[in-house]
Formats: sequence, structure tokens, C-alpha cells
Amino acid sequence: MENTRRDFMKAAAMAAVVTATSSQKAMGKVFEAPSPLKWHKSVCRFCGTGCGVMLGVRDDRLVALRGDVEHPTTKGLVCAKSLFLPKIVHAKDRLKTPMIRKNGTLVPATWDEAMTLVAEKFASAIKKHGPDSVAYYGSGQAMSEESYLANRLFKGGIGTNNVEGNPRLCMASAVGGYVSTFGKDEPMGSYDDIEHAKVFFLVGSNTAECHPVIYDQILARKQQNRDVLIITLDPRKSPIDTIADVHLDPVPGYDLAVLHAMAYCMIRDKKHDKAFIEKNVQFKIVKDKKPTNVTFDEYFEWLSKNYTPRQAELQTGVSQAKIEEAAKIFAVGPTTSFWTMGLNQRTRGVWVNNLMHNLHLISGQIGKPGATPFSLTGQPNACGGVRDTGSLCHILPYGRAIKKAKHREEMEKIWGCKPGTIKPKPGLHTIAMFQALARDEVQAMLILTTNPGHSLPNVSVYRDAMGKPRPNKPFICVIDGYPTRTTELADVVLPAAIWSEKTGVFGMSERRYQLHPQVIPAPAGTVSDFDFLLDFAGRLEAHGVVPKGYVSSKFKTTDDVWEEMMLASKDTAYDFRGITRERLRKERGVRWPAPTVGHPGTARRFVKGEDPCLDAGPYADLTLKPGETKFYAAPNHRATVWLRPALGPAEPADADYPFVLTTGRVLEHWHTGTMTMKARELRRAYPTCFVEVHPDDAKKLGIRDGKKIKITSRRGEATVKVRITQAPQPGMIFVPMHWEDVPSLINLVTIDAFDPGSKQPEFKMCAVKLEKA
Amino acid sequence: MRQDIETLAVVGAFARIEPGASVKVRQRLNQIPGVETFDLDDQDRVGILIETKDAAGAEEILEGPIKATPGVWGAWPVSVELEEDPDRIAEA
Repeated sequence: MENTRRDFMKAAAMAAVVTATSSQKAMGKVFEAPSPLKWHKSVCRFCGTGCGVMLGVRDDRLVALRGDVEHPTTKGLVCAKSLFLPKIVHAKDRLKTPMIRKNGTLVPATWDEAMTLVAEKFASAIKKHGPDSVAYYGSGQAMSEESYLANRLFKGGIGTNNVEGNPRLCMASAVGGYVSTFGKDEPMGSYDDIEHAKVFFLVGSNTAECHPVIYDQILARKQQNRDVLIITLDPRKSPIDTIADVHLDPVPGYDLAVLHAMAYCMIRDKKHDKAFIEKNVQFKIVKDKKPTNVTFDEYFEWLSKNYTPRQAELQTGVSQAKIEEAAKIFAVGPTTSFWTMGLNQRTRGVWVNNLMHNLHLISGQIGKPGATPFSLTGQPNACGGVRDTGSLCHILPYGRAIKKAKHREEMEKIWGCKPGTIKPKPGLHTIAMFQALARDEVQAMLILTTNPGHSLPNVSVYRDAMGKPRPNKPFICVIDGYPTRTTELADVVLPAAIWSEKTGVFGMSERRYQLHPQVIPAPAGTVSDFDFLLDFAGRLEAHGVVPKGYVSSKFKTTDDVWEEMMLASKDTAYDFRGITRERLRKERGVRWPAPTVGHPGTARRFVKGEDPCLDAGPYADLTLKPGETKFYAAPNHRATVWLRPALGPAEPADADYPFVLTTGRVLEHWHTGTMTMKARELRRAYPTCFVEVHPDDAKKLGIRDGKKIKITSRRGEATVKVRITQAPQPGMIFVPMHWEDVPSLINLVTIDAFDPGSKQPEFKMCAVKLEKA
Repeated sequence: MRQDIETLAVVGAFARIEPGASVKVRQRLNQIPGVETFDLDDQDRVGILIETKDAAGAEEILEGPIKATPGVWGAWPVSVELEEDPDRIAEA
């Protein structure tokens, strides 16, 4: 019987499922579908899961994408967004021509015209107003080499620490939590822990929609073992709650008390790990603005006084019984905790991260298979590209701090700059940087592969800072692959090659560095951020504001930069000198630390026998037995349990603004939608923005499903369609942040209050009122 | 763009289902128009083919009736096969 085209399509689809699920049973039913494509291994462009993908190329066009079944952690799975990347890459509205603003309008220009103008504006600002009059705002979507190079150019070449990036908006509190608890950033565990965990604690994380491949692995674990239990902590019911055994739903912003009460229950019931605590943990409270040591007994006394389950119930609305049950389950373990923006995008973001670590430290649910605290990331390269390379205003590459003279000296030596070039004072953090722009104190800003004209909170203020015409208005250069709400504000727009059109490294959530190779030519007229930075640096050298040859004599390709990056990791807790370019081309990524080429990478940090830093180098300890934990990067080699007060949000609901607005994401879209909105299929899944309203609130307000309502805060308003659902609790509304049209742009409403430690804004909570539109 | 062409999209997907509920869940899934299921090695997963006019329609079925089927814990697309007029693809 002759097979029709339809049969072949079905067979190909079935083959893909069979391959992705490593299932042989259905193989007999599958025809071999002809495949004229050339396939290349790569990494997905979207979230921080770091899914391995195979890219199908025909005639220099990316025409297909499939999960990479040989990928060691994601094993062939991808989500819907990823499948549409080929369409997104070839979208009709890709930027392909540089543009310069003339008489208020962006007009096409040559690359040389545009670059000449950009270099002149930056050089002029530096000469007239000093190095701190310029700034860089980068991205967790740029390649590691690009972020490293930009950081190197601004801090070590120009001499300003005004280096920031969008990870400040999503991960800074996680960084603050890791550093203040363990001494260094990044998780100690890995995705391998999912296969060993018997308890999952999912906190402020809509894992099913935001990290669907991780969610699948959690489900798989629960299917394999009926004893696996799932606890969720989130004021909003997201799809993960369909599988939750216990759901803790505090009043938005008051979850700190729940976490303290869980710690109280564990200690009261003698479920804490006394031996682990005595060997590895210290306790601190901030008194008179100074961290002060307290004893374990004082910690318990503090919990007993302030955070019993009864007290937590009164403060948070979560029943004592649920808190008790969650604590009991958590302590049994092995427990893996995952969290994301629900904890990080808060004015108490660092503190609540600390409290997550507290639970693992006092229960000893750490450093063992299946037991780890783990902050998931939202961008493909926030970890490897921005956090690890030190491309924020207060840090330097690979765990070094701007404030430490020794660290500045080390980087000055590696970068080849004059001693004293790197300033000892941190630069402007993101909100401060855009505020300085509004005051015209920052006179020239480079924005690379990110969209602050949409993604900043209280965005109207910062849109004006970037684009409102005025005398002495700062100069804004944006390089991006697509037109965005930021390119429309720029003075110069440069068209960028993206992802599969260039070669570089992404570092995802579990410390795995992976290469994505160039597999198709960049569209005519575009250049990579890397090539742009090389050109920019060369022109600044020519203007005399960067030392001659500082960049231009050292690098030609991203491979050259990688060599220096590997060297910069020597003698740090990140040591990845073994993750060579050659190895990255062959392997499906390697998890640092990996100090030698023969090292397989590290699944679990701080554990003897697994973490190579404990075997050789400055952190080596030859007295430890295999399996023993040592928090070698922390002061006194002890992780810190912090006694943080359970304070609420910056702007709680009140009589005038009686609802709490929280923002987030949906499965089919990603961040500001500049890519996912290009795929008709994804756009159609959610054609318009919406607001989730609880049925009780809808009834009180007389609001009907599908009708529009106006959401107003003290800063601005948005008007979107109502979706009546039990997902948010009464008094709370949820709006996804992907839509850019003005009635839907929810960041006109959000608050730019930020965590005093991490400087991360509180996207997750602000007070609003609702009115029929 | 030509409007008279027949289009076809086939999405390959799989669902994780409640342990022990395979038979019932597959019966329910097979009742959804355009959906066929097939066995995988693992009893707690089921292979799914969604056949519709275009990928957007398949996405709607996956995110709507499939995920809403009792006993389905989660469903993931794995591939999209599109049969479209080449001119139309070039325009996309």
C-alpha cells in the first residue's frame, strides 16, 4: 500500500515522540521519514533550563528544531516555545539596517555612520564628564563572551563600574541569598537531584509554565515513586497545584513567616540535623545594622517568640496544620527546593532566599543526592553570562567583588590594565542607573539585547528617561535582533545577529556551560553583539578613552575571549579551565567546577569526592572524608542561617488601592514577547493580555468574564480583559507581562521599589484598584 | 497569499498520566477530535498525535482539552510537522 504524505507526516511526528521519550515500543509503527536536513546540536534560546536541541538546517535556513535526546539532563524534551524558534529566527521584522535618529525620526544609515556616531557620543561624554557618565545595560541573553567583553571594556578599559544587565530584574535576590548564606553565588546542586528527591518544595515558581521541562522531570519522579511528595508555596494557584500534596497559600508578600514557622516545627520536633549544624552552620542576626552571631538556642528562642505556626497563621493566613505538615514532610526528604521570581522579585528577596537556605541547613537536606536548595533561572545565560562573568555593577568575574582590593588587582592583571583602573566603588545598579539617566547624569548608555522600555517596573518614568526629547538628553544606543519598545526610544539602533547565527556559550541554571554554534549565516546587514563590541572598543581606543590595544590587540573571535575567561576562573570556586572550546564542541556542556580537561564536571558542590575544589587549589582540604560537606567559600567555612524579620511588601493593599497585583508569565510566551509573539501559533494561544480575578472579587465588582477592566496603581494604569478564575486568592490579581501595547503594558502599573540588598525590584507585589473599563 | 490551499499540521506530543490510569485516560484522549494515542515503553506516558489544519489549532487542543483530561498530569509537544504551500512558508 502506498504511503501518503499525511502518513509520512504522522510517522515523522511519532518518530520524534518515540525518540524524545526513548521509547522503543512504538518503533515498529514508525516509517523512516526522509530527512534532507543537516542537523546540529545546540541549546535552546529561551529560559535557563538549558534544553539541548537539534537544529535542522536546509539551504542556509533554520527549518526545524527537535529536542536533543543525547542531552544528559533534558534528554530530548523541549517546550512549545522552543519548537517555534526556526520561525522566530526568520521573522519578517528582523532588524537588518542600522538606524540613526534625525529630527526625531529613526532613519537608515550605514554601519560606519552609526558606529562613528556611537563612538563619538561615548568618547565625548567620557572626556567632558568622566567615565561614570557612560553606562552599559546588558542581558542574560547575550553570550558569555559578549557579556565578559562588555564588562572588561567598561570596567577595565573605560574605568566605570556602571555595568548592569537585566538579571538584576530576575535573579539578583538569588545571588544575594547564595552569597550571604554560602559565600559564593550559584546553586550547589544540579538537575541530577530531581532523580533522587522524595520531596519537592516548589516556592514562588509556576514550574509547569515557566520551566516545563523541569516540571516534566518532577512529574516523572512522582510517577516512578508513589512516595514522592510535592509541597507548593504560592499565593496564586498555578498549574503545579494539580499535583501538589500540600499547597501553602499565604497572603501575598508574607511568606517569610511560613518559612520561619516550618523551621520552628522542625527544631521543636527534633527533626533538625544537630551534627550537620554543629559542623557546618553559624547563626546571625542584624543588630544596629551589623551582622551579629547568635547561638542555635538563641535562634530557636527567636523563632519560638515570633514564628510559631499559630503566629504564622495569624500573619499569613496559612493554617497551622498545613505548616506543620509541610515541615514534617520537608524534614524527611531528601528534599529539593526550586524557586524563581515569586521569591526573587521582592523587596525582601534576599531575606526570603536566606530562609529557603535556612530550612535546608537546619534539616541537613543539603549536599546529599536529592537534597538541595535551587533557584531556577529565567534566561538562557543569566547565570553563565552575567552572574559568573561579574557583569553587574558590584562584582567582577568568577566570584570576585568590586569592593575587594585583591580581587580588583587580580582582574587588572588578567585584563592587562594599569593598577587602580577598576574603581573600588560599585557602579549604579539598574534602577539607580535609569534614574541617573532621567537626571541626565548618565550621558551615554549602551543597551544590548534587552528591552528595558517594556521590562522595567514603573516603566513610564524610565521610558521618558530614555526617549523624552530635552536639552542635553542622554544618548541611547540599542543593539537588538528585533524592533522593541526600547529600540523606538533609541538614538541609534543597531541590527544584531542572534543565537544560531553566531557562536558562543550559554551557562544555564545548573552551572552547565554549553556551546551554541553558528549554524546559519547571519542576515545581511546584521552583526553579532561580539563583533559590535570589538568595533566599538577599537573606536574608543582611537578616541583615546580606552588604552590603545586594550581590546583590539587581544581578541578576534569568541574562542579568544573564552581562553581568557578560563584563565580568570583559576583559583576561584568556579574553576573551569577544563571546559575547553574543543570539549564544548564535542560534549553536551559541562558543569563547573571542572579544573582539568579530564574532569567530568561537578553535580554537587561543597561535597568531598564530588567538588574538585576540595581536592586541589586554594580551597583544598585533604582531611575530609568522601561525602562530607564543607562550605569552603563562606567565612569560617560555615554557611549562615539568618534571623530575618518577616516583613511585608513595600506597598501593601490599602483602602484606596485594595488589590494586590502580581505579574508573571504564561507557557507560550517569554518575557517581553519580542520573540514568541513572532510565531502565529504562540500568539494565537494568548491573542491578548488578560487579568485573572477571583470569582468572589468579580462578583463584588460586578465584573464579567471577557470584559475589560482598568487596573490603576499610584504610578499608572492598564486595561485588559478579565479572566475569572480560582487561581489568585481573593484580593489578588495576576497579569502576565508579555504584551507591549499600551493598554496591556502592565509595567506602567508595577512599582520600582527594590530590595535594599540585591537592588531587585518588587514586580510581584503592588497595590491597585479595579474599575470597569 | 493563496487562500484555496488545503493545509495540514501534525503535532507529536506525549502526556504524563496518573499511574494506573492509562486505559481510561487513553480512551478519553482518543475521543478528542483530531487526537490519536499510541503506546510508549513507559506505562505512565502516552504518545499523542494531533492532526489539525494548522499548528495553532494543534496547540489549542494540546493546551485545552488534552491538558484538561482527567488523569493527565502534563503534556508536552515534541515536534510540529507542517504541510503548507511553499509560498506561504516563504512568506512566514
